[in-house]
Amino acid sequence: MEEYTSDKTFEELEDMFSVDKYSENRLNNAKKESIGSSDDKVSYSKHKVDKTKYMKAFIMGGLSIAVATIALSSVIKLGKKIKEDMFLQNYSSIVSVNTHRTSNNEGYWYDIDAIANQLLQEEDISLALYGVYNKIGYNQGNKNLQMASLLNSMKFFAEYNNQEVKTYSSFDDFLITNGFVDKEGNPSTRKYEEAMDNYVTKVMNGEKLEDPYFSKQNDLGSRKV
Amino acid sequence: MEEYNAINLDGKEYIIIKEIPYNNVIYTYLVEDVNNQEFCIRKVIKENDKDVLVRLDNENEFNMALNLYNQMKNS
Repeated sequence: MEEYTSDKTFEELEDMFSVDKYSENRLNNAKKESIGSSDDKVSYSKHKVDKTKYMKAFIMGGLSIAVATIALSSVIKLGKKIKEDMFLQNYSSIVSVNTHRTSNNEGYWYDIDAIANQLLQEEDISLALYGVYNKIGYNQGNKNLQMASLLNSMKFFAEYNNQEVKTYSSFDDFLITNGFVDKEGNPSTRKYEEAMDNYVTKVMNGEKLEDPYFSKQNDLGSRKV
Repeated sequence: MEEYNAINLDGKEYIIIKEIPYNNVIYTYLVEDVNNQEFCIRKVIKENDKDVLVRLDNENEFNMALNLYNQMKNS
């Protein structure tokens, strides 16, 4: 094959990454080539190469890519999680725009009051709060601390503005009031995440639901979603 | 002249098929030039204000990155 002028080849190359379209061998080789020590690093310096040269090389090398469907349940689950992350990204961005450098430029701080005010303007505060929960804090302990401040701040502003929403004095209060507790009755973020993942899936599927944890209409405590 | 972006890794030239920012890193999808059956994924991180290409931590991250690509491609 001497000449190749269509862009199709590049699209086919893109297909090489498609979850459903590679052989087990290629997958294993790709894993081997991709995973390793973080000490193995190179400077990311790109250069340009002539497209036509490689079009020809790809054709000569053959694009008869072995097709194999590999049942990777973990991959499918991760795919669902990524979709959810993307869905929640608008809410997570509330954290991004309210994250600031410390004066010594060595760390970051969250403008909790600004985040609280923005959350109180959302139509579905439970959904927005979960987007914020996913983004805020540098580890689970810090996340819980930030959430405690946030819910306390939301309570202050909601009461100050006489806003018709349910309020909580802390994150633990939020978790316990809504039944997210372990066998011993301690607050459980895992239970909260499970319930919210379930809720997000329903919203993503187009179900119209009342805000489960902040609407006064749902003032039933321990409500399951 | 139409061009690809490419990088050199371990003495081989790889074409950059896609770059996807996710969770504070950029996942980079690479196909080796001649032996086009081979592909790999690396991530770009910032180190001393410079972009550095490193390997993925484990199989979970590899699966996640592969899925990310698939989601982006199909979205």
